[in-house]
Amino acid sequence: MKFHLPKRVLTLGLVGLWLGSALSFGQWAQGRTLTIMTFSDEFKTNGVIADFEKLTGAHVDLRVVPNEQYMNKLIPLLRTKRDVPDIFVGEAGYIKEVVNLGQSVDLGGAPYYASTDNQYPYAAEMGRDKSGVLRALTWQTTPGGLFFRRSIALKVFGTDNPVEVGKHFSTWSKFIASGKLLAKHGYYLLPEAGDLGSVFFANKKEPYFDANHNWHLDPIIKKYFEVAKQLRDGNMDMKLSDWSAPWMDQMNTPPGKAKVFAYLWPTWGLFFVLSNQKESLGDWGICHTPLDWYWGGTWLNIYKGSPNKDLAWAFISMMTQNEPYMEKLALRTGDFSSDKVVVNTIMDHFNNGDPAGVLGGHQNHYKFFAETADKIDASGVSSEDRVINQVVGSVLDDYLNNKFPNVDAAMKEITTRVQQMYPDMNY
Amino acid sequence: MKRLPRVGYLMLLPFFLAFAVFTIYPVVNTFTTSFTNDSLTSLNPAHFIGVENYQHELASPLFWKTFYNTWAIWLPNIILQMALALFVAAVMTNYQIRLKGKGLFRAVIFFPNIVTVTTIAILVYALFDWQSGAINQLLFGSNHAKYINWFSHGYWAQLVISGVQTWMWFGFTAIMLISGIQSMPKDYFEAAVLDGASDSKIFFGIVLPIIRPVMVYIMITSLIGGMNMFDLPWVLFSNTGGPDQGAMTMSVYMYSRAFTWDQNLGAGSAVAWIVFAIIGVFTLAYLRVTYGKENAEETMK
Repeated sequence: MKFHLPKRVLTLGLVGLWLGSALSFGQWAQGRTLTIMTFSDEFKTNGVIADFEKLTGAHVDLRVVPNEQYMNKLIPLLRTKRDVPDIFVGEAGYIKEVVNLGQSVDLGGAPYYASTDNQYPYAAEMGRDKSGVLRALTWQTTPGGLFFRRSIALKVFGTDNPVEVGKHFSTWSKFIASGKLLAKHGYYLLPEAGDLGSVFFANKKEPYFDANHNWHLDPIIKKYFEVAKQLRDGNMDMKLSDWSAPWMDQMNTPPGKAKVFAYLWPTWGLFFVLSNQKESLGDWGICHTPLDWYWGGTWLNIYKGSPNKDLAWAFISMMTQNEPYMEKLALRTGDFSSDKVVVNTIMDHFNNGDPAGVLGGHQNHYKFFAETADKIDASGVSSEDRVINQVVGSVLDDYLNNKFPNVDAAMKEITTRVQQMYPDMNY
Repeated sequence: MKRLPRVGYLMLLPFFLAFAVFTIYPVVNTFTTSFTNDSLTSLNPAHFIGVENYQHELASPLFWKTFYNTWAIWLPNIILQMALALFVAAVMTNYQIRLKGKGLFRAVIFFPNIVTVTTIAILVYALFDWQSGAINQLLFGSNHAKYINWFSHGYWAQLVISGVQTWMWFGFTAIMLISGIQSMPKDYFEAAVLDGASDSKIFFGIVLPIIRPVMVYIMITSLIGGMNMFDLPWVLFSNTGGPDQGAMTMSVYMYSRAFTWDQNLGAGSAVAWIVFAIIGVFTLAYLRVTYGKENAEETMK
C-alpha cells in the first residue's frame, strides 16, 4: 500500500523543520553560562538578560556587588585569577581604575574590532586606558542639566521657556546674578551649594595624578569653591544635605509651595528620581548650566582570561554595537543611549515629553541631552576621582562653614588631606 | 584520671576549624601583611618592607588625629553611660522603691541596642537635621537663629556620635549592673539597714565595691568597642571623616587606608596592630589602677 502525504502537510513540515533548525542555530550558546559581575540588577530588571538568553540560549549568571565594595571585590579575584567573571564593569567614578589594570581585552583589536564611530566622544574616551587602548564600552551616556521649576521661573524671570530660562544661567556670573534675583523673591537657586560638584568634577582638564605620579589640583576646583561660597554667602542655597529627607521633600513640593528653584540631575535623575515626585510632575524644565557635564554611567569589560570571550563579546556587542537593539532598549527603558545614530533615530519619540510627565511644556529631554552629550570632555578623569572628589566635597563643606580664611587655604587643605591618603605620590 | 572518649575531640572540631579560619588566619595574615607593601590597586605580588608601615603610620598626623577623635567620642560616652546605667540600676534594685513594670522598662532601655546601626544613622540624620530636625526644635523652639548645624563642626559631630553611643549602650550596661547587684546576698543590705545605714551609704559602701568586677568588665569591653568604633561614623560620614575630619576614628582610618584611599593593605594592617597595642596598653593601665599591679597581671592572664 502506498502512503501519500498531502502536499500541504509535507510543505508545512519542511518549513517547520527549517524554522526549528534555524532557531536552534540562533541559540548557538545553549548550555553555556556567561558570568557578569556588576553593581545593580538593572540588566535583569530592564530585560537585557532575558533578551540575551533568548538570543543565544546561554544562561547569564548575574553577580551583584554593592558599588562601594565593587573594586575591593574585583581586585582579589583578578589577583588570584579564580572565579573571575567573564564581564566586569566600571562605574564612571572608577572605570579608569578598571581599564588601567590591564585585565580587560582590547575591544578595538581582533577579533572584536568594536566601533566607536557613532558613540559620543566622552563615552568612548572613558573606556580607554592610559595608552589609549579601548578596554570598555557603554550603552548609555549620562549628561546632566539644571532641572528648574517652571512655576518659579515664570514668576521670577517672566518665562518658563527652557531656552529663555537657560540664558539666565549661561555663565557663572549670570548664574550668581540669577541666584540673587531668586533670593530677592524668597527662593533658593539650589538645595545645597555643594551640589554643583558634579558640574565641576566633570570639567577637570587634567587628572589628579599624572603618569609620573605628580599631584595636580585643577583650577576648576578653585572655581567650584568660589561659586559655591558666593551661593552660600548670598543665601542662594537652602543648605539641605543632599539626599536628606528635607532635600527630597523640596523636590516633591507642589508648584506654588516650592522654595528651591532647581536641582542638578543627569539623565538618570529624570527617570529614577524626579519621576517619583508625584506632587511636582509637570512643573519641571531643563536648561543648560555654564559648563556641560555628566554624572555616572557603566562601562563593560571582558576579562582577558575568560574562556567565554565570544559569549561576553556577544553580550557587549548586543548592548553597544547593535543599533536596532540599542534603539529598542532605549525606548523600553528611557535610558539615554551612547550611540548618536540611535539617539537621532528615536529623538522624535519624545516630542510629547518624557514618559513619566516630569517635564512640562512637552520638552524633549532627548534633544536636550543630545546637545550636551556631544560637548562633554572626559580627558581629565583619573583612577583616583572617586576618592578625591569625596575629599574635595568634604573640604568644601568646611570651607562653606568658614573654617578657612580664604579659598587658597581650602585648596591647601585638599592637598594636605590627599597627601595623607596617597602618601606615596609626589606633591 | 579517666580519659575522655576520642569522639569528643571530633565534636569540638567544627568550632576549632571555624576559629582557625575566621580568627587565627585573619590575625596571622594581618600581622604578616603589615610588614609588606601589599596593595589592592596592584596586581603585583607584595614585598617585605620591614617596619616601614609602622614607622609611617606612627609619624602620620592624621593617625594621631584619629586617635584623639576616638577618645573624644568614647570618653564622654562611657562617663555618661556609666552614670546613667548606675542610676537606673540603683533605682531598679532599690527594695524601697517598688517600681511597677520593671520588665517592660528593661526592654525599653535595652531596645536601642538591638536596632541596626544603619537604622540609627537614618534616625540621627532626621533628628539632627539642623533645619527640620527634632533636636533643634526641642532645644530652641521656633528661634531658628539659634539652631545648631550639628554636622558643621568636628566637635558637634563627635558629640552627636558620643551621645548616640550612650543612648545605644546605657540600657545594656544598666542590665549588666542590675544583674550584678541582684546576685549580691540580701544579708548585706539587711545588716546595713539594721545598722541604720543610709541609701547613699549602702550604695557607695556596699553596692559599688561588690559590683566592681562587673564595672571593670563593662569598662574594658567598652574600651575595646570604643577604640574599634567604626559603624556609626562610617555610615554617617564614610571615609571623609565628616566636618574637620572629626568623626574619623582609628578604625575608620584603618579601613579607609586599606580599602578606599590608596588601598594599601600593608598600611591598613599596621594600623590594625597599632590599635590592638593601644587597646592592650590602656586595658592593662586601667586594670593596674583598679586592682593594683599583681592583681592586674593575674586578671590579664
